[in-house]
Amino acid sequence: MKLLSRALLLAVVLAAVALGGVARAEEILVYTALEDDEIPRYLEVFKKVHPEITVKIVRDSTGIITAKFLAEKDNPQADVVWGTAATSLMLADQAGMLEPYAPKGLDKVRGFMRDAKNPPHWVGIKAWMTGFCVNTKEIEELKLPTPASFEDLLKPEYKGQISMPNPASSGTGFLTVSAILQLKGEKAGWEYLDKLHQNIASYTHSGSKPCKMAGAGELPIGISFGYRGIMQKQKGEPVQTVFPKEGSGWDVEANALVKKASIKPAAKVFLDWAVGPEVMAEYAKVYPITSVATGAPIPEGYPAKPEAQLVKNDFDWAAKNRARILEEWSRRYDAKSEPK
Amino acid sequence: MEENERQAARPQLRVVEAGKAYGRFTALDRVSFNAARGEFISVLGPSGCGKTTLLRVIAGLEPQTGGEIHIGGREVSRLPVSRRNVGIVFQSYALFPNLTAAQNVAYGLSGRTMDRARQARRVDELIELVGLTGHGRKYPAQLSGGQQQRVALARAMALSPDLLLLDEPLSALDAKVRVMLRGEIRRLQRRLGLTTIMVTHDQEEALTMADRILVMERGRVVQDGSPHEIYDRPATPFVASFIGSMNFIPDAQCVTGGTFRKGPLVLSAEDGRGLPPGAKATVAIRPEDVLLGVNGEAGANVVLGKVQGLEYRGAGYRLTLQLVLYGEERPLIEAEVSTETLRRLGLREDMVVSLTLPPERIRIYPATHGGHA
Amino acid sequence: MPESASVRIAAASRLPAAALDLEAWTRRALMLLVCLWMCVVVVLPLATLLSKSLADADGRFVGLDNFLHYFQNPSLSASLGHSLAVSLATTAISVSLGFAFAYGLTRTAIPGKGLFKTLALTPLFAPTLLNGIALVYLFGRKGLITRGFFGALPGLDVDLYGPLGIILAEAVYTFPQAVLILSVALGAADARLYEAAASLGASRLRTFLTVTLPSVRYGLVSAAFVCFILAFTDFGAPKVVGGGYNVLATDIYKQVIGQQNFVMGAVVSVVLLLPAVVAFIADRLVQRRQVALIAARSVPLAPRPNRLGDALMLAFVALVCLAITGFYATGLFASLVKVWPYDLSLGLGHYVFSGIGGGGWAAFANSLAMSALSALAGTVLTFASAYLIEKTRGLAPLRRSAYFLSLLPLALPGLVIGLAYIFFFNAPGWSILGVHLPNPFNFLYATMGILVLANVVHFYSVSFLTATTALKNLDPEFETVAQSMGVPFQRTFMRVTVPLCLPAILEIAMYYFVNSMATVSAVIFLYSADIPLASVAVANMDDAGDIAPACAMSMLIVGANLCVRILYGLATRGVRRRTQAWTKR
Repeated sequence: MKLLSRALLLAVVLAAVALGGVARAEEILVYTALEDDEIPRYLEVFKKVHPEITVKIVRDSTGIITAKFLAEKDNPQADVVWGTAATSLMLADQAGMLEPYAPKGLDKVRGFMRDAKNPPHWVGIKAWMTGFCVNTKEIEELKLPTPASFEDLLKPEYKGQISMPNPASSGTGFLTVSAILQLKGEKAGWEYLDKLHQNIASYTHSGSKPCKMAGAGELPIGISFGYRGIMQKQKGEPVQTVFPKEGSGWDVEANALVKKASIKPAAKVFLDWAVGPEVMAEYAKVYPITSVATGAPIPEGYPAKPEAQLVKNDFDWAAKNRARILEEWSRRYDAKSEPK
Repeated sequence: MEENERQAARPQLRVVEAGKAYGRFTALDRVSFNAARGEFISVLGPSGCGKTTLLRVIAGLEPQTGGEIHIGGREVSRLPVSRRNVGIVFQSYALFPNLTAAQNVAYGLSGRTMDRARQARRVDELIELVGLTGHGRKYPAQLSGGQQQRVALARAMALSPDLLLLDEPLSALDAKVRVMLRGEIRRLQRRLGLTTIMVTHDQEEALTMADRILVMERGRVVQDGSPHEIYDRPATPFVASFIGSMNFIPDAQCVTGGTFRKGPLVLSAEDGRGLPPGAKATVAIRPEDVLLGVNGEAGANVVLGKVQGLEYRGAGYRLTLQLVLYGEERPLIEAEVSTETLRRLGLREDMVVSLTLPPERIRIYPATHGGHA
Repeated sequence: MPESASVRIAAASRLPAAALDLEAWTRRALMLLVCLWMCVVVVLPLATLLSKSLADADGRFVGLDNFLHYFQNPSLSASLGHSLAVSLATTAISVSLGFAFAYGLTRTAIPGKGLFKTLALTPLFAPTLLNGIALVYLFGRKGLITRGFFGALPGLDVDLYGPLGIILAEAVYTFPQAVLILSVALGAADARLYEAAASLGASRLRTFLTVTLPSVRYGLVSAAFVCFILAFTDFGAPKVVGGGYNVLATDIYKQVIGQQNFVMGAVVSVVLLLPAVVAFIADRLVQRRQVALIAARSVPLAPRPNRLGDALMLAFVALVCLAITGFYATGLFASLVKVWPYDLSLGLGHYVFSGIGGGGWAAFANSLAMSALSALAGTVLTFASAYLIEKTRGLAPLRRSAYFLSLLPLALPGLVIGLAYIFFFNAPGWSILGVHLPNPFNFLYATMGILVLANVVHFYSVSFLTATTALKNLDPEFETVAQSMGVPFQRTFMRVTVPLCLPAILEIAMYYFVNSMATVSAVIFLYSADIPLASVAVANMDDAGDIAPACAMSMLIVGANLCVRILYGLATRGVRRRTQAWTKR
């Protein structure tokens, strides 16, 4: 009885707090492609600094969040885009959906990780890069070597053991394909992908799924990205993250202000915060390359010189050719599956 | 006093040229009749003759496509059923199964400007009136068919309607209950002086209950009269054959006023006096009017016939006789005889007997009536 | 006549005249409203979808260009063949197994029919994504059966990802539908025909071929159409186990969500819609013929015991139920295992959903709220409009159109509804003949309202038919009698119609709830950030590769649905106890 009345009291208090909160809070809607297990960590920081702002998060894979954002072109719902591939934001920019904004502390942001215009249409926060997730137990059991490079993945013994994200829906998938095409040139690049296709068991919707499938032993090797593999290992899965010898494809996760009839001041507050030192320190805990130098040590599992691992990436080229690449990719590989 | 008399003279229901058409099909063809206050009228006819349509038009359930309806001196042609002040009992009774008998009866009363106590008194009164005291709290399914029927009746009367409409009210019941309820409904109706229109396809029901019968055929009223008139002097061969049974001798020719010839057969009939010589007509007589004899009776309207069939009917026999005539035509005549007569005359198959067709019992239908096979 | 006088005194006052004329007009207005409502929630969104499929990305009319483009792209057009192939295979499997199962339930004297039927209907309560997920845990690389129950038995490796996986998952999904339809068909047998056949000395086989099969042919056709449409339009199962084997439903999702290509999404939707519409029309035509067939009176057939036959049938029925139970038990087990297949200790870790996308428990709570609201709104709307259509006299053209519009959603796949709703409800307005007309329904976009609306429409027709059947069983003269007493129709509706139809109303509410909980297809395009949903969370978690939490969330959905099913059972029992008073002699 006592317990019940206490619970009731608690509920009343909570409800009152919640109602009061709603009454005075400013609310913004944020679209993001950051990983699900990153977001709560960062938002905790935001809540401490700006308790008066309620942040509603829509999170999905890069391709999906971009699609949703673009679909709402005539009637944008989001106030801010946060941590989403720069190539995607460039597309949105072409559609005229971004409002130029220079967040506080813009001067500290590295040049190659922001839009060159002034004020910039998008500003990066960190870079993410291709990494292979390899299930150590399974490859041992299958007596397979650990692949060290893109070239290694073509070995016939990996046939049917690799998964990779579909570049249409996954930012990781796109940056990987775009890197291969830029590394090898288009012709050789497609030839490489044709051969890789022979070894791929499944193209997944999201960039993190190949890594999780590797962790679960469903397919021993997953083309994914660094952060994911390192996180899965921390969870206790037998996963080793391999950064390919040729260099990793990469993209910048960036922020932008959405062009709307009425732009909320809270949206600018959020964008200022998102490149600010407090959250930058948090980014740096799990990502080796941040847009503002933090001086933090490279997180465990990444190469010692992370920037050296990045391939040369022409974002403009990637954004401009995105539709063409995806169409070509889908024409070549989407219909995989006819009885083998 | 004068006012009262005038009210009594004014018909409670006046149907003036009521018509109803569904597209090209005419369900009601300019039907007119009146019902006096307190009168019990039965609308009789085979299925599809338009009798139910007539009832629904009177009730206001179907908008008529022509004519007028007056109830209690008001023209109601354009009014919905709810404003015609009629009580209706359907074939299915349409009792609300989730409400008790009393709640069913009270259904139209609640929600009106009547306090609860008065409502309850009124319901008790009605339940008592239909002889269901003590059954008020039962659900319809817990009542017998006859009891359900009475609840439906009480419900229809709850609002003191100007007109009570009964749609085949007894057809769902057992034969025994039906006979009993006929009397009850009739008594109740008399006592309350309720003007009542009952639709039925059962001639016996119509004959026993109604003050007046309207016989309908193909959307038209073909005869309007008292049960006696309808039975004794059916206006058309259709009415004659629909109510009771009738022997027809078609294609007879009028010789002189009141005498008809069909081949070698010559019959005189009082009914046919008005017809000019040479006119074609159908001669008709009811089986129970045919008199049989074995003693070589002679005279007008006596013919010989051979017994072809004997059909036991419980109370008596139905005989099929073939007339013994010269020539090709040998019409069949049916006759009804009591068991006593059968025994007295020693009737059996193949026996030749004399048939007397009393001239005053013969009906003559001029050929223009036609239509009957 | 003193008595007559006393009866007469009560000549109760009638309602004022104006109020009653109002009634006819109210009904007319309500009927119009029903038609209008169906137009806004079905016809206009569909028209918008259609017009999008005929225009380019900038909205210029391009005729059938998009369709040409579609059929010229081999990977896209292949999906049509794939969809047809898996749906036909599914239909064949479901209808034949469903027939045998229903035969066992209706025509044999096996024990435990009630239990078997309940078990066979379990898939009705699960999202189809779960069927795929359970298959992964059974037949995936690390699946129970593939690894021979972790090495205890010799393993069996099937090539799950692709047509096989889809067909297996869809078969589980559509099997209960086939059982339901065929049980009704087989249950309505006319014993006289069998007696006649027996008296003519026909063999069992001959009797089966000449009496049984023809008598259920409409049921078979109907079951086939239903299974086909369900498998053809389902999105959940191919999403999880389709691998690279693309079908139309996953193509729409990929086009819209993955490639931002709404126009192509609309095109594929139309391609998906067409066979569904054809099947819908064909089924309607068949149903109409069937009505005429049933008119004859028949004597119910009581199955006679037959040792060998019953034993075989019992074995078959039990095996099917075991398979279904095992299927979902595997899902439950997998959701509890810590790290499949490396650490098989059990725990509730996957039910925490922290650091995992989809919305976790909040999504589950939202789904509960959405389903409850859909059940409430859907039941009220469906029953009220079925009542208006069924119990209004006259106004035949209006009623016919309303009836047709009410059945239309039956042909609409959830994905089509979802996409059409995006187009329609997110449009800021339309310019018609140069006049800009703001969209009055725009406020619904990205709210709980649009989710509820999508569910109500998605599951409208079946509920509507349930309501109509229940209403048809009521004496049509109830309304007339009440009217003749001057009682307004809404009072009779509340006092008589609703209480008498309560079992049907409860069934409709349960149907709405259960399906709203489990559905992904209609809501996946419509849910918004602050209203994550459990079923969408399952899809998103699967996308992200978090299969175990996805499985856990599916289990929560199944659990909630089973609870509602049990509540429904209790409520129905309560209602039945009360109605027994009305029917007891």
